Amino acid sequence: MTATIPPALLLIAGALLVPLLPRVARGAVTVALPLLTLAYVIAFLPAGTSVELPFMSYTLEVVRSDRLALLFAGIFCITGAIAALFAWHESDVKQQTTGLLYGAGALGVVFAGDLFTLYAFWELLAIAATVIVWCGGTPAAARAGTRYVLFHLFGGALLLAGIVLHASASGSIRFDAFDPATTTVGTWLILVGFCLNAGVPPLHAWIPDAYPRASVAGSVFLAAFTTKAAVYALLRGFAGFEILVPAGVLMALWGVVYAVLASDLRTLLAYHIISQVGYMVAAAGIGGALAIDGAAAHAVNNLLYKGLLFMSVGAVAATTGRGNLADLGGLARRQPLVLALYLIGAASICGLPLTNGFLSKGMVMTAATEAHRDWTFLLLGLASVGTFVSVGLKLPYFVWFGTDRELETRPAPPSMIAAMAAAAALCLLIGLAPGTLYRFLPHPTAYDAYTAAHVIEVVQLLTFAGFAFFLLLPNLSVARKTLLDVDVLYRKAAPSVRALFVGRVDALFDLVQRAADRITRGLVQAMRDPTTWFGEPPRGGPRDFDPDRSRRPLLSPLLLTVATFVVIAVALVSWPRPVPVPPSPPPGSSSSPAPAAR
Amino acid sequence: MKLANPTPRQTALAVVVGVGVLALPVAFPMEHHFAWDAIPGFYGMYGAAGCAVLVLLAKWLGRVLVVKPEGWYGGDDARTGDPS
Repeated sequence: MTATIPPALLLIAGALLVPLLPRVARGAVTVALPLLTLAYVIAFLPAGTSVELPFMSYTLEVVRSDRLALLFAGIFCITGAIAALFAWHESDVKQQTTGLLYGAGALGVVFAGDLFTLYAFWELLAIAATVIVWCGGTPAAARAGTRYVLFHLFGGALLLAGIVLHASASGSIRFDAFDPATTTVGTWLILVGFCLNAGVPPLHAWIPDAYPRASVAGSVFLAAFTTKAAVYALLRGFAGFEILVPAGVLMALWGVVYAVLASDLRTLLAYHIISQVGYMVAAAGIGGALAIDGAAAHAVNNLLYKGLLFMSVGAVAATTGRGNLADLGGLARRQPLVLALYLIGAASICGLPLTNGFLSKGMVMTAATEAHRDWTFLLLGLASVGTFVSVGLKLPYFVWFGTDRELETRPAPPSMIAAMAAAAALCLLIGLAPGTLYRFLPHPTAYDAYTAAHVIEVVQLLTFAGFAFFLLLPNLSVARKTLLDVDVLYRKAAPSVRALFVGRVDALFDLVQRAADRITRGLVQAMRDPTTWFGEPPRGGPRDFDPDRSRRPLLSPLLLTVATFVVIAVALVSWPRPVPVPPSPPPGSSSSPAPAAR
Repeated sequence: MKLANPTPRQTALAVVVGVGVLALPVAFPMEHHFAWDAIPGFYGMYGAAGCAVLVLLAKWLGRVLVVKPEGWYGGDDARTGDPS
């Protein structure tokens, strides 16, 4: 049985309902709704479902269900529920409502069968994410949110331009795989729009700029949807585009280098989003069944362990009031549970055996191996070392071990712990029983992660990376700092740009306004008393025209007029009248009277 | 570049673990995909060298370009969770 309601609408309806509910019910509803939506998707939208709507001269396919879409929809619903559970105790109605809308945007993108529908939900993602950043509540969050929305409106504009060009060139708005052999400007603009949301450098700086400034629960939502929806779009549209391989490798390395430097917990993790999405982007570029499966599986796993990591550092920030490595240390005795859950997430992101990251990272690496991409393999391996160093060693070392700063901690709310435990359980479940994930992947796979070679490779790589890390530990500074990234270009340029496009334009308008004022004032002044044009200005300054005062004496003109009249009248009367001339006789009778008179 | 000064116990532990990890391929033979798979302990060396390269590269980048004092953007760097 199939249905015709797009699942995104269920979440949007829920988002409209949530603000009306009492505080107690809100948390439960925001957790239950994504799960109900998941049930709806499973029950009514099996692979192959399609719902079409006519729209102007096009046909919108608002629901197109297939294995790739179902996989992403499922994990978006699950992470949406986990994030809502984590956000339960904050009970910020704006954030709860927007969290549902954000999930709706992600689901809408995943089920969009045409580019217009995709674009509409793409913008919903951008707007919802902006509001989530604003829910951070600080002036810095407000400014970061504004930068976020401006950047994403720019990306949305590129995407829309690409869609319009593509639609006019091909006559179709269907969202299918683009062909790398026949690309148009429209195709590339769409690709750039997708890459902006995936966080491909140099279009990535919005991630570390905005994500750490949301509330602790807000950044769990942020870490989930936008980038992974972009990964879905890349997998669907741009699998096999060669350019994505170097782009993904660059992301993977860029993220870890900054993460090694970062001292703010969530900035560090935000850079790891870029790094992890790099694996998926590179896999999308490699193309082929195993790479696509690997990218999709890595997206699923990343949603789980990245959410878990953000929740763990969020729990630290919420219970200690501190979010920077510079202010933390020695929490292991006070928060053993948070530490344990964090370590599960960290092991997963590092791709240690028995965790889900081991499987999906292995799939991506094996895809690179099978495609004989030596450099891709080596550089992604290097990025994985960097991940281990920063998330697996540096962060836990300076938060839970290192210098004990004798911090007071409040106990973490049970809802937070429950959300983290759920994510951790799923990380381990997938790691221990890969079949639970494999059966949902887009292509049937017989990939076996637990080969001796793979396990030994990872264990050797990470063990020796760990040795090197502890040897080089004195080189790592955790002092509070600002990290410059590409965003320095627009953040520092903003005042000049504002001066040019707002200040200068204002100044020009001002100039014109003042000139117009001056001209008007001059005209008004001149028109007050036109009589002054012809003579001396009246004494005592200019004044308005006053007929009584300005009128010249009339006696002489009157006298002159009357005199002239009289003279003319007299002349006319006394002038001798001319004698009327008698009419001349008719020409025929002129000869006869003349002789008679003679 | 500064180096840590591990205690003899830590060094001994590292040696035992390191040797054990390097000896794993003896017990579990590995198939070869790349040219470097033939080098014994390649991934161990790559991990250690990779870590050193990343840490030192990051440190250098930080010094020459990337790291600025907090508040460089004019008080716009505050994160939620920071002490106010």
